[in-house]
Amino acid sequence: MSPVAERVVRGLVVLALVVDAVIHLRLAPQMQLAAPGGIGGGWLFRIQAVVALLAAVFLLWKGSRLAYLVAAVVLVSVFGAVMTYAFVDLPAIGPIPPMYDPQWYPEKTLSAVVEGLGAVLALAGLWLTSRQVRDVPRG
Amino acid sequence: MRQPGTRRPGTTQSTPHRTRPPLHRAAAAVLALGILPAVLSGCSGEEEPESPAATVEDGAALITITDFEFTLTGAVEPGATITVTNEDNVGHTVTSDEDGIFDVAVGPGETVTFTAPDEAGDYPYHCTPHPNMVSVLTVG
Repeated sequence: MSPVAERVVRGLVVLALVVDAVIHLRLAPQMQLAAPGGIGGGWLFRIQAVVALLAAVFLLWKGSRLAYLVAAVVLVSVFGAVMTYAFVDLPAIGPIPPMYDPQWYPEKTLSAVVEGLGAVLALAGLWLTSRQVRDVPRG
Repeated sequence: MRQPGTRRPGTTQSTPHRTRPPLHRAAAAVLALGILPAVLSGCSGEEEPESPAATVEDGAALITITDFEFTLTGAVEPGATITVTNEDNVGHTVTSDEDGIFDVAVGPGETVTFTAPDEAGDYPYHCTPHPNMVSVLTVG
C-alpha cells in the first residue's frame, strides 16, 4: 500500500474512533439513567470513550499492525455491542447492566454506522499493513 | 424475549478434570465462553426485576412502561399524584418536553410517583435515554 493510501485509511479510522468516543461521552449521562445497575451504563460508555481515544492516539502515532489491530478490536467490539443490545434483551452480565435498547435515534444510528465503517477500515488497514510486511524483500 | 419475574439459576456444577485432545479443549473453551455470560450473570446477585405490584386507587392516574411504550390509565386531575411503574429491564424517565414541569427517573422494575401540573392542559413528555418514547399527559 502506498504511504498516502495508508495515511488516508489511518486518518479515517482515527476519525471513526474519535467520533465514537465523542458520541459515547455525550450519551453517557442518559445511559446511566437507562442502565443504572452494575457499574452503570454511563461509566461503561465513559470507559469505552477513553479506550477509543487511546486507540486513536496509538494508531495516529504508530500506524503499525498492532495499532490497527487494537483499533479493529475496539471498533468491532463496540459495533457488536450496539447491534447485540439493539436486538437481544440480554440480562446483566457480571458488572455489566442490562442495556437493551431496540430504538434507533440519530446519535445512536450515527455511532453504529461510524463504528461499522471504522471497523471495516481498521481491518483493511490491518490486512494492508500485514501485506506490506510480507512484501518487504529480505536479505 | 424478556420474561419479568423469571429467575435464573445461579449454580454451576463442577466436573472432574481430565486431559482432552486439543480439538476437544478448543470446543470446551468455546462452550465455556458461550456460557460464561450466563454464569456470570447468575453469580452477579442481580435478578430480573419482579413485576411491580403497584397499588393505585381506582381511577387514579397510572403510567405503565412496558416494552418501551408509555400507557396511561385513569384520569389526571390538576395537582394529582401520578404513579409510574416500569416493567422493562432498563431504566426510563417521564420528562416533560417543556423544561422543568416534571421529570422523574424510574429504574428497572421500579415504581415512582410525581405530581401532575396544577394547570389543566396537554403536556407532551418523553423518555430522556430513549427519545423515541413519547406520549402526552392530559390534565383536567
